[in-house]
Amino acid sequence: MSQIILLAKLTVEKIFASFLVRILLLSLLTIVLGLSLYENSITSLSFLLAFSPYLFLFSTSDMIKDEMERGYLDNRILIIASKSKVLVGKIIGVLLINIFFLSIMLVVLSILGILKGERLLFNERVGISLLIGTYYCLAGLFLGFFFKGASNALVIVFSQILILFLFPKISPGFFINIEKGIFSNYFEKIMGIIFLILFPNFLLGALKRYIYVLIINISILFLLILNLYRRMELKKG
Amino acid sequence: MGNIAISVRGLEKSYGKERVLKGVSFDVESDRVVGFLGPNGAGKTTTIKLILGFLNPDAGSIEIMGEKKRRDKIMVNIGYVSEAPKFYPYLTGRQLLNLTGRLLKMKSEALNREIEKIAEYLNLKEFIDKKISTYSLGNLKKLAFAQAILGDPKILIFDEPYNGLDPIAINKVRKMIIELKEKGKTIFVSSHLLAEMERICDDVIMINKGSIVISGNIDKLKKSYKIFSSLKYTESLQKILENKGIEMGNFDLSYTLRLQDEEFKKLIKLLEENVSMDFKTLPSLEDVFLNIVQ
Repeated sequence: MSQIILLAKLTVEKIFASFLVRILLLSLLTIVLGLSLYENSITSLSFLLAFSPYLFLFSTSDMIKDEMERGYLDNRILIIASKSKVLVGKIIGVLLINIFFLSIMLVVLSILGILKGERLLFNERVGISLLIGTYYCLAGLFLGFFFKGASNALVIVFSQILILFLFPKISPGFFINIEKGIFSNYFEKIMGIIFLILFPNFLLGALKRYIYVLIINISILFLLILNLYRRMELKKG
Repeated sequence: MGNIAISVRGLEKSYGKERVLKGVSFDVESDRVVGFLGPNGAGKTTTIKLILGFLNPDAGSIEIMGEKKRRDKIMVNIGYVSEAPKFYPYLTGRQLLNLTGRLLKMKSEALNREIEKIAEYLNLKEFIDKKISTYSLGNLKKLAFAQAILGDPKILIFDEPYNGLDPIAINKVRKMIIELKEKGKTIFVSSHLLAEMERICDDVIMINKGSIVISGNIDKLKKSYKIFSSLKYTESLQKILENKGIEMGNFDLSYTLRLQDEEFKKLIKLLEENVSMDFKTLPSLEDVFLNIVQ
């Protein structure tokens, strides 16, 4: 266990050193503070819970394919610790640092809310947001086997933009159903579940009861990337 | 024969359609320095990465200290220096060594003491607290050696350890390998520098085009190879050799014969009567290597 914690710490240091993550963190913090000051803390909290999972996603940049190809794993660390431990260390590292970031922002929001006399409600949405972040972390790591740099995260973001345009064309009134959390037939339900797989952020709305879709996906992705990482080969010499 | 530190049997590996290793088998005896020689693309680094578990074999087996499975207690006994070491650039040298030592479950005080000692020994003190991103290739190599010997592992695997080093550093590495050998370490080292290998190795394993071509003790190997060069022979030589039951190859002005001592002596006598030649009785490792590979 202690080896995994050490490897998680290594990932935390890597994320701290990432320019991209710093920029995203600063941007998110600025928007959250701006919304809290010029709108209200409740809107700001909703924004934070909906968008903080992307911080988890972009934290997985440079994490797999880059490390393999640049030779960062071609040393004694991977001999002493097994591939599985290195991967689990990465996952825990990404989750820990982002939970830390989210906690700080929630504390800041709470203080601002108290100062403005607003009552913030930290309900199950915080947990759902963390689960969405976990899903993005695993999805980012999975795509990290095939894409370098931050392109693993961009693939997800661009796919989401695409489906925002595509789904209403396939199923008219789709977003009204999403907003209400009601699907009138099986086709709409299947469409809704596919949509949630690609865009789980909508679970924060009226679709909370579909949280099981996210949990199943997290389990599948974890097993998938564990298997991929175990079979991973460092570039040929 | 002593204990076997590394045993490789029938190792095969392909990258797509390219067969990189074709049933490689060899043993590395404990407490010896074993050179792993071969031209570029022969399969040296692939073999090393398979031993370390960085690649997965298509077929064959690898035993380290008698164990087939990658158990933690076995793997902590392996130190490794890659051909072109690279580490997380955002760490300092000390942080990397500290992480390695803690993964090895070394006690904090002993770890700090050993890091200082190794840094001093490898002339790394000046750089140890600097970010790895600022390191030159030579310093990266030194850091890799520091990481490899940390925690006193029993087996050391060095892949082209002299690459990127200046002559002073090469001398230092040579001394280090000799000192490590005296401490009873098993050292498996691949290199192109054959003269260097001849100086430090007890045994060699030669690989070419994915197959082991020869292996054994260096001195015995050299003695078993008699190399003729600038061989000028009379036309009658072929007939004489044929009469003696010696099959002639398509030999031009130079040719290598692998014969038992007695046969060899007879042949020498025969040749002395019929040919003029420049004859080397003790080839260098380079001669043997080139002879096999070419």
